Parts: sequence; C-alpha cells; structure tokens
Amino acid sequence: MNCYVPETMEQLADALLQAGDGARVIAGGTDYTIRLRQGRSAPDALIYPGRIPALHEIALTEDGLRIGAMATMNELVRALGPVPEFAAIADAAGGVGSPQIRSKATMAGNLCNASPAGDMLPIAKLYDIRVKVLDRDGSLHTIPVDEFLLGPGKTALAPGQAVVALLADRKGREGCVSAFHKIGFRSHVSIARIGMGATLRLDEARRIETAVLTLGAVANVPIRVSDAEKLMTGRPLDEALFADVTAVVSKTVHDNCRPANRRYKTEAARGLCADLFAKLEQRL
Amino acid sequence: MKLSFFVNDRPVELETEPDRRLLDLLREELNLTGVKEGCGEGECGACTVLMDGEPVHACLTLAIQLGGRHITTIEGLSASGELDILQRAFVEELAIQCGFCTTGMILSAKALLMKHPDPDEAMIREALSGNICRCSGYVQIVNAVKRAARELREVGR
Amino acid sequence: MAHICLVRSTIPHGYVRAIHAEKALALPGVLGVFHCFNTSPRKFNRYRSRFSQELPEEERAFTDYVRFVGDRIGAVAAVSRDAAEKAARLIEVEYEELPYSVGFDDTLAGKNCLNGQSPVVGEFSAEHGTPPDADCVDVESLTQFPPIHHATMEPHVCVADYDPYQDQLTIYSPNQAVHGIRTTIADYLEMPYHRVRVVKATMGGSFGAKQEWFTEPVAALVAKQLGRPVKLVYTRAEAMTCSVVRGAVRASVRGKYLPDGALASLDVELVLDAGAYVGNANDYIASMYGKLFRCYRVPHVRYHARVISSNTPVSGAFRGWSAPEEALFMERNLDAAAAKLALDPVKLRLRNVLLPGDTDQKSGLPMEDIRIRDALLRGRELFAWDELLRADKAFNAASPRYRRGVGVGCGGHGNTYYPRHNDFGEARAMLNEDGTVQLAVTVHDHGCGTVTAMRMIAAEALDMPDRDIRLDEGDTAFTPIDFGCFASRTTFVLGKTVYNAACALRCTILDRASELFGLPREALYAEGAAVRSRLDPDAAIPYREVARAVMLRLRRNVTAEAGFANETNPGVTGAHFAHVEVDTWTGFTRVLDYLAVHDIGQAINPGMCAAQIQGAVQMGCGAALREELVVGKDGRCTSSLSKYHLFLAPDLPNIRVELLMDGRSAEGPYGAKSIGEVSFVPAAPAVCGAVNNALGSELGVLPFTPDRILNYLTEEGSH
Repeated sequence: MNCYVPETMEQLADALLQAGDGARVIAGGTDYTIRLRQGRSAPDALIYPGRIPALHEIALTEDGLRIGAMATMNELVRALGPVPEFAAIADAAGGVGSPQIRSKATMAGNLCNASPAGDMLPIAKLYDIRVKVLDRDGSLHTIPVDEFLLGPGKTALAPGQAVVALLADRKGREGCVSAFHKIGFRSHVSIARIGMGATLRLDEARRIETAVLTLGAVANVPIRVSDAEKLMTGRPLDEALFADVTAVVSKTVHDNCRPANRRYKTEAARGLCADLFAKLEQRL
Repeated sequence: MKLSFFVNDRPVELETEPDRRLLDLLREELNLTGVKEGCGEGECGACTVLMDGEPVHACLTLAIQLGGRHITTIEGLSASGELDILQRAFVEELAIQCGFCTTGMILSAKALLMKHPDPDEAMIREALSGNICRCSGYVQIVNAVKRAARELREVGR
Repeated sequence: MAHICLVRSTIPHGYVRAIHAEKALALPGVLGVFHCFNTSPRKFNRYRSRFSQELPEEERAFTDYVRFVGDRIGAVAAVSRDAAEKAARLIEVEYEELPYSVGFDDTLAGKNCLNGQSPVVGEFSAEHGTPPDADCVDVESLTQFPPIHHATMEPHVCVADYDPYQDQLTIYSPNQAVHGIRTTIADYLEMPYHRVRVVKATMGGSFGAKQEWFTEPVAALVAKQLGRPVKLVYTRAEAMTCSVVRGAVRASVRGKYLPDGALASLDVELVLDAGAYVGNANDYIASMYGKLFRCYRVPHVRYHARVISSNTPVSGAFRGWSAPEEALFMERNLDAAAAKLALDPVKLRLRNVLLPGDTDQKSGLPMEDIRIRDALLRGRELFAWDELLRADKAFNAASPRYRRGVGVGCGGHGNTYYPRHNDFGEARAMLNEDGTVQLAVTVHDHGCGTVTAMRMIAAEALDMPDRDIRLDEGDTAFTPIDFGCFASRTTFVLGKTVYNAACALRCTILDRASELFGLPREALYAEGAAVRSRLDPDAAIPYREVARAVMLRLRRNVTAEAGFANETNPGVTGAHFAHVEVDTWTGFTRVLDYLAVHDIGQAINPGMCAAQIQGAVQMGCGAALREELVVGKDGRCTSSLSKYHLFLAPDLPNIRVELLMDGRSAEGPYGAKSIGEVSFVPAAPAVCGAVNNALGSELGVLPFTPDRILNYLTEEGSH
C-alpha cells in the first residue's frame, strides 16, 4: 500500500493527484481504522494530512469560525467551550466516545464518516457549516452541509478530494448561547440515539429573538426542527414554552425515526429537551 | 513506509506498512507487551498508550499517523526499573486483579494527572471512562489515582 | 509460531456441502487450511473436566453440521495473524440450509427440529417437602433474562505446541482446569495423558468463560498436524458470539405464603436455552434446583425445568453457575410477595432465611454457622434502609421526573462439589536449603488473588513471610491432579489442602529438628521461620539450618505431602442493598448507593475479597440494567462492545462492602467460606428490586433498559 504524509497544502494536493482514485484520506482514524481492519475498505494508498500545521488550527475571528480538518475533539472542547455561541460544538465534541477517542477524532472525520448517529452531524447543521474541500488540482471550494451529507455513509466528497476545514459564520450569532445534549445507551462512551443542538438569543425583554434547533440520530441526515423554532420566537423561556417545544420535538422524532426505535425515542425526547434547555438556561 | 518516532523517549526507526497498528508495532516489533488487545475496536481501552501525553487507542492508531510523535507505554513509566508513584499506588490500593485492564488504566490516569494534579472524584471517573474493568467496581482504581495525586503533590512541594 | 484464524458458519442451521480453499492456500504465508472434510470426525465435550462425567462427545473441531452463526467449520494456519485472516476471508463455503429458531417460543414449537427430534433436549423434575395445608396467599411472578457475555477483558487465547520427536503436546492457555483440558484433549487426540502437558497461563479474567474447551482442541489438533507451535486468539466478536454465553432463562414461579410472610410452597416452571449445543445445560438446571435450598427455608417445592437448544451462541458456565439465575426468579417472587402482603422486603426475607444449625434440604448437609440473618440485619442498619424508604417516599412525591427506590437481594452458594461429587485436593510442600518454601498444588488464579491467598495460608501455618513462599499455578507436568477451580472450591478445598500441606511441612521440620539436634519433640514449635523450644527460650534454629542439616546428615529432603477431602459444604451467603434513581423522562437508572454484606467465615485477603465483591456488583448492575446479547432474526448475535454496554467508572458509586466473619466454617482454612461466586448471586436481584420499588412495578424481564422502563411507564400512564 502506498502512503503519503504531506507537510503543506500543496503537497496534499499533489498527493491527492498522485495517489489516484483508490486512495483514502485518514484524519483521526477512529472510525476508519475499524472499517479498514474488517476488510470493508481496501484502499491502495493512504494519505495522512496530520503534518500540515494549518489543518490543526481552530481560528475564531469577528466574522467566523474555521475548524481545521485535523482539529481534535479535545481541542474543540478547549477552544470553544468558553465561546457562548459555539459552546454547542464543545458539548458535542466532549461527548464523542471516550477520552482516548477524543484525543484523535476530528469533526471533519465525523462528517466524512456520515453515520446518522454521528454526534457532530446535528452540530454541523446547527451552524450551517460549509465544508472546505481541496481538490487534486490545488483548487478549493466549499460545500454547504446540506449538500455534503447525503445519507448513511455518503458524502459529496469525490475521489481526489480532501476536507481541509469547516467554516461557520459568526455574524448573526452574536449574543447567542448554545448547547448540545444527547441520549445514548449510557451516560458516557455511547453512540447517540438522539442528539439535539440549539442556539438561541434573548432580547432585552428576555424573549426569544432567534432560535435554531437541530436533531441528529433520528433521520438519516440531521434535521432542523423549524416548527419548534417558529414556536419559540417571541416567547419567554418558561414552562409553557418548554412543554410546547417538547411536544413538537417528540412529534418530529416520531415522524422521522425508524419504527424499531420510535417508541423509545419519542418518549425520551422529553428528557432530552429538559436537559438541553437546562443547559441553555444555565448559560443565559 | 519508513517510520521515525519516539517510544518512551527513545528514537525508533522502522520499515512497516502504513496501516500497521501501533498496537502491533509495540508488541511485535518492539517487544513492549504491556499494551493489550481487548477488543481491537477502541471500546475497552486495554490498549491505551500516550501519544504526546494524550491517551489514545493503540489499536486504532496507524503507522502513517506516527511520524515524529512521542509514545509512552507502561514500560516507559518504570524505565529506571522502579515503579513510578502511580504504579505503586495501584499495587498498594489493590487496584489490580487480573491485570489486563491495568496498563491502559494507569496510562489514562497518568494523562489526567499530568494535566490536572488535583482532580476530584468525578474528574477521575471521567478520565477513566474509556477503560473497562470487569473484575472490579473501579473503587480501588479510583482510590489509587487519588492516592497517587496526593503523593505527587507532596513530592512536588 | 503459526497463527490460526477460524472459519465460521454464516448460517444458523444447516450442512456444509463444500469448502473451496484454493484461493486461501495460494496466499503467501499460509501453512494449511483445516476443515470439516479433511480433519478427524472425532468429537469431544467442551464441558468435560474429569474422566468420570457421563457426557456425550458432541463437538468436532470443525463441523459439517452447523448449529449457529459462528460454528467452527475450519481454520487457516499462517505465518501471521493478518495472513491467516486474509486467507480465511477467501474461503468459499457451500451450505444446505435448514429451518432455524432463535427465541424461546419458536424453539419450543420445534421450528429447528430435525425429523424425530424433540424441542426439549433435557428435562429435570424434583419435588421436596409437603404442600401447605393452611390458607396461603398466591404470588405469581415471571422472570426472564437474555444471554449475557462474560466480558473478560482478555479474550480467549491458546498456544499449542507439538513435538513430533518426543510425541509431546504442550498446551498453554488461561483456563480453570489444566487436568480437565488434558483429559479432554488426550482422549480426543488418542494420546496417553503423560504426553499431554497443559500449563495454566496468566488469566485476564474468566468468570466461567474459560472453563469449557473450544480453543484448546482446535489449537492442539492443528499443532499436531503441523508439528509446530500454533497460537489461536479470539477476537472480541468471537469471544462474544462463538465462545460461551450465560444461557437465557424463562421462569414462571408461583409462591404460596402465609400472611406473616413465611414461604409455604414454591412451584417453579423453567426453560433454559442451551444455545447450539447442550454442553452443561442439563447439569445446570439440576444445579439451579439445589440452589433453592442454600439461602431460605423452603418447606415445599415443585420444580420442573426443560432445556431447549436454539440456533444461537452456546451457553455454558457463568459465575455463580445457576445460583444467580435462581436468585433472580426467587428474589422476584419474594419482592412480589412483599408487595402483595404489604410487608417490608427485608422483614420478609428475615422471616424465611436459613438459621445457624439448619440443614441443606437437598444435600442433607449441615449449613453450619450460616449468617444470612446477620447479614440482613447488619446491612439494613448500615444502609439505613428504613430511613431511605422514608426519604425516597418524600423525594418521589416531590419530584415530577425522578423516582428513587431501594432493593435487597439475598443469595447463597456452595464451597465445593461435595456431595454431588466427592471432592479432594492434594499438595506437596518443599523446604529449600535457604529456608524458602515451594508448594505444588493445582490452582488457577482468575486474577482474584488465589495464588497470594494460598501463600498467605501457608505463611500463616509456617509462621514465615509469604514472600518467601513460591506457589505456581496448575501445570499437569508438576502439580497434582485436581478437578479445577470452579464450584467456588478453591479457597475452601484447595486452601485447606495448602493449609494441611503447610502444617505437615511444619511438623516435618519440627520432627527433623528433634531428630537432628536431640531436642524433645513435644517442646518444639515454629515461630518466625525458625524452630523454637519451650524448654529453652533462647534457642532458635532457622528453617534453612534444618533443611541443610537434613540434607547433609539425614540424606533426604524436607518435604511433606497432604490432602484434604471435605465432608461438609457450609452455608455461604450474602445480602446486597441497592439504592437507585430512575429518570422517568429518559428511562435511565442511576445506582446511587450500594452495600454488599457477606457471610464469608474468614476472609484470607480481605482487601481482595472486597475488590472481588465490588466487581460482582458491577456485573450485577450490568445484568440488571444493560447487558444483553441480542440474536437477530437472521441468527446473528451482538458482536461488538459498542453495542454491549458494560458499566464504566462514572456509572458506579463507591460500592460499600461489609465482611461478616463470625460464621466460621468447620473445615475451611481458618474457617473460610467462598466468595468469588456468591458475591454475584444477590447483585442483579438487589438492583432489580430497587427499580421495582422506585416505580411500584413488577418488572421481571431483564435487563431493565431505558426502553423497557419507558415502555412500562407509558403503558402504566395510559391505564
């Protein structure tokens, strides 16, 4: 098997060109290694972009957030935990797998793996992430998350391409708080059964000015709960709102879920909403 | 591929396949058999080693990812032949039963104490959440980490 | 070293009609492909641990009649594990499929039966005592639990080496019975026993998973064919699906109780799913009956159990060997009775537990100083049971979301095979010229500190430091023949054997010292690794001097042999208390607090006993709340730890342990009784009881996953 360990973006593009269509790019490798070992993937070359310093950066500017493809879950927790409008990213990253997984796993890798249960998928949807892709000819282009995530294990990434960064706008999110919560099979180290992310901002009268709510691990791709968002706008964050939102979320879960899990997930949505809202309230 | 990296502060040069697991490199090429394979899929933590001070699964780390990195195995803790404080604490606190999870458990604890010299119990349990022990209820293991933290702080004084 | 990768059936039931190995054989590094058409049709029984067991030889190394997804049909040997795996993937198999079944109902209906077969492959009925004549309250309960995985952190592994020049086979494996393996393999390969050597390797956990033989026969067969060492390592997936599981059980119990809570009669109707092969299942259901009499007074019981064999992973020994299963349905019925009679669950158990001096109604042996009553009383006090009940009531009334509850579980076990089989141990003790001691006895440390405990016993008897005593684990080349380390007999039988051998060595040392130094024998005693005389307080002859003098002047060594054949099996029990909090909005259950009180007689190494008990609690929480091997409609079983949710460090509280050491056994070393298995018996019942207490429910289908709890709550809510 051939291997390429580029140290610059130019070298990465070069590697993509030379390696050919049968190559795979590996970031943290915590999902991919398992598939490789089971014989479910048989690349003729591996490309590891981990020696490119820029890919490890998490850059926060006035305009936006850029998460390098190699930034680990631990690094996301450290960098974004203190940033209210992006704390949901830290919440989600901090719950991916175990400490060992979080030392290596990346958000880019989680999106490329495109498992419907991937913790970072509803987060990417929450922030309208744009996936920055490097092509083998050295050019860069971005793909909005809705066009990137195509279904279980499917993304818009073509052979000869590599994700180099994930981009989110900061404009429009000033003054927002955010949070993510998930229900798995146990409190730690578990695949998500439902994941929910939210950003919201209150006006001076403590009423919701803007809210975004996304659900993961329910449908094949992450979904926005626009019905709940509409319902929330202009209302205070109180018991009545919480009950109404929970009802909408439950219904959304019910309508999008596979039959096998429907009963549990619809019911458990209540606890999920309660815990997510508790996090948000704490941060307001 | 030619691989140059560091194991227990020693430089290592190897010729190997890019998809060779760190677990196999350590056990088979370097005879460092303290690292164990419990599941091969990053669930049990028995293969935990440190990579640049962070805990990782050696079963999910491939040769192609290792260039220039510093790996610490359990053997690296007692390089001088004497057990380090954490290892001694595990012995004193009866935190070892069958021993299969132990090396991974100790390295996860080591990573924690290197970053947080005074962790509370919740932090300790969280730091060990990726290491399964089937023999114990984690009680002695947590006690051992608390004890080691205490002793390390005293030594630091 | 050659490495083996197994080729396994991908269908749940059927015949292998052809195997195409050409592509595999063509791969570089492949040393051979062994399968059902090119290896011996001889069979063995994985459950055999001694020659005298009446068991059908029912398994081939590689079968052409497959009974579950994962059944062994072949093996590839190669120079590396990777090469063996790649080759194994290239093997093509043609099957003729047969109808199969994976659940209780389909199997009982005979869906997987071949012509003339009955779905019931084993049956056991027993009755004891006299039915009640007074008016009783009927309490019915249903308990059902799925197969579970031992989840030893070390998967199964075996190294076998065959030297064709010496006709010598050597097997290294982590196991619980080196002589059992020797018997099984030697008979299977038609070799004399003295040419088969089995060495116990360090074991990364067993819990019963490593006391049945499926890696050793395969490795031995391939080693013999290749004439070189071979290594077989199971993947986690194989350990989960192709080794051994704890069999699923469905139990219907009707208890009759007097109004004051005294149990008057039990009627138990039970089905055990043995999985693809019967193995130990018939002994298991008989053993389960016997466990009914190890904790409570049962004036009358009617017991009827059947074994079925679905096309699912093979069931076998699991820690507690039928006692935890029995406790699950027994404790459920007791809890149901407590609810129906409006009695406190602890009081109900106090009304029914065996008391010191009682007799085991099945075996007829004295329970001796059984202290389950004390364990309950002590536990109730330490756990603040009554206060917790009051506090939980108030908490539950005030909380819209959470429900708290407490549960108690009691259980008993044994310390030996006796009287089901005669039991004995033998050991040799030798004194070295430097005063250190070596013991030869067949022990198998599961990781629980057996070797240390044995050394401590010997050290106590010889009054010398335990670090000066060497004790290696079982090796059929050097250690006396023994049944193996199960049935919780290790400390009680083998520990007493070691004690006897150490005492015999001490005696011999004193005898020789008397002879050599002209000292009156009656005045001599051992202290501080030396011979001392009551007549001369300053005299002290260190053991090493005795050893040397004996060799030089008496022309012999200082050795002693001793045995122990017990005639008792005292009652050994535990009472567990669990405090849980159920999140009624997500179905999650948190274990808030836990106390295990054990009637252990004498703990040899108390710290390790406590550690083991806590491990058993971790297992019990798992069995009660999360763990379940699911076999799908296609016959495939859960095969990854990502889908089998063990308890992790953040999931458990500080588990408290209290050891009661007043109820000493008559025969055990220093009065010790067993702990390794009895610690697991009450654990899952205590947690289940706590959840039912929290919810006011009668849940009996384990595990109590979030799904099951929310299902229950939504159904309840709709009534």
